[in-house]
Amino acid sequence: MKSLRRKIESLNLNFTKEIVVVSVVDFILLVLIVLSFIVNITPILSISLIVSLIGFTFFYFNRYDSLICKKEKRLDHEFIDIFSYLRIYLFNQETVYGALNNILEFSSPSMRVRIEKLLEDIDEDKSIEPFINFARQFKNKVIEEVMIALYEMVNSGNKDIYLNQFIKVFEDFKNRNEIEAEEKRYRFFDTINMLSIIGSAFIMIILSFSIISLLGEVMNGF
Amino acid sequence: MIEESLSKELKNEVDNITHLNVDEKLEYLRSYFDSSLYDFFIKIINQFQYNGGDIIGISQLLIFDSRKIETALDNFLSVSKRKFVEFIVLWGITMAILIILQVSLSMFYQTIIEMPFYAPSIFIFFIIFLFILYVFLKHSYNLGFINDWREKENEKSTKKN
Repeated sequence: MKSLRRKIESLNLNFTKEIVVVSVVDFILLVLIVLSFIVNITPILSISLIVSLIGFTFFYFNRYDSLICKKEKRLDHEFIDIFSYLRIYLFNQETVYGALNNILEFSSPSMRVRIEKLLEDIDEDKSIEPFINFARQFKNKVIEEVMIALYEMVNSGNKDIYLNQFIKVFEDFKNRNEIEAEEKRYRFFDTINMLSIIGSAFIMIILSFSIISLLGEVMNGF
Repeated sequence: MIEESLSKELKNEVDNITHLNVDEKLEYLRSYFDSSLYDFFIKIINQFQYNGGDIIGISQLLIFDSRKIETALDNFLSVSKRKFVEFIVLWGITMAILIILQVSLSMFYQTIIEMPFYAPSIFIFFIIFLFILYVFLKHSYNLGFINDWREKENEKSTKKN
């Protein structure tokens, strides 16, 4: 239960509200199941209602994992967008601290909180720790490499060699992500086009049933 | 010189604001370019106005990023057009089966139509087709990949409000 609460709260959803929604829907379905047994309608309806109850409860609680996964990916995507601006600031001779401050205005509220925390930590701790802690909040582990490259810039006073190293690490990471995202977008088209097979199969089934029924009628006619 | 490379829509927008000065024009066009890339461009312009320097040099990476997005957008539009043709051909073949059924079994077609399962099945088939067409068009017109995270965050904050 604690883990579920943590998941729900990490998505900025209200735990009580979520539980109430599931309970109300489950209660309605339960009442319908009991009614279907009392009134003694077709058993298919009772079975469908039981399957709906189990299915709804299962999918409702399991959707949090997929929502968390989507949120993490969105955050990784935002990291790439925001740090693209950071690299432009750095390229234009801005300090790492200044550049991080400047990108705050382009950040979403959730990213802003993370960057502000990073800036606070950098103020107190001049080691690599704040950079690593920041990277740990992202799913993609390459972000840690990017943050290490950024720390090396801080440590070396924005020397060109470290700037180039940071830009290279970041560009590689960005390109890899863009290629993956592009492939995913194009794959989706292929998946949709594959669904036309379902249409063909459906037509074939209708056709087969029609012909079999027709043959049946002809045979009966004889 | 720049106007020659503008799209028709953007040219119309620019023609409507000829009375404004350059800064006001750039600010006005913020609503036209709904992208953080444009906000950053304005930042670079402001930086150039206050600090001076080489505008091409300081905006070099921004130009590089914009070109990459432009290329990704062009590729996506060309692929989506090609896939739409594939989509039409594949579903066209499926529909052709229905037409062939009607023509080749014309003698029995009236009997088939009167069968109780035929009409609901054909209805379900067209519902499936319309749903898949909707998903296809939604994906084709979804250019949110340019500013995906930003859109989602905006949606979330709008819902909260």
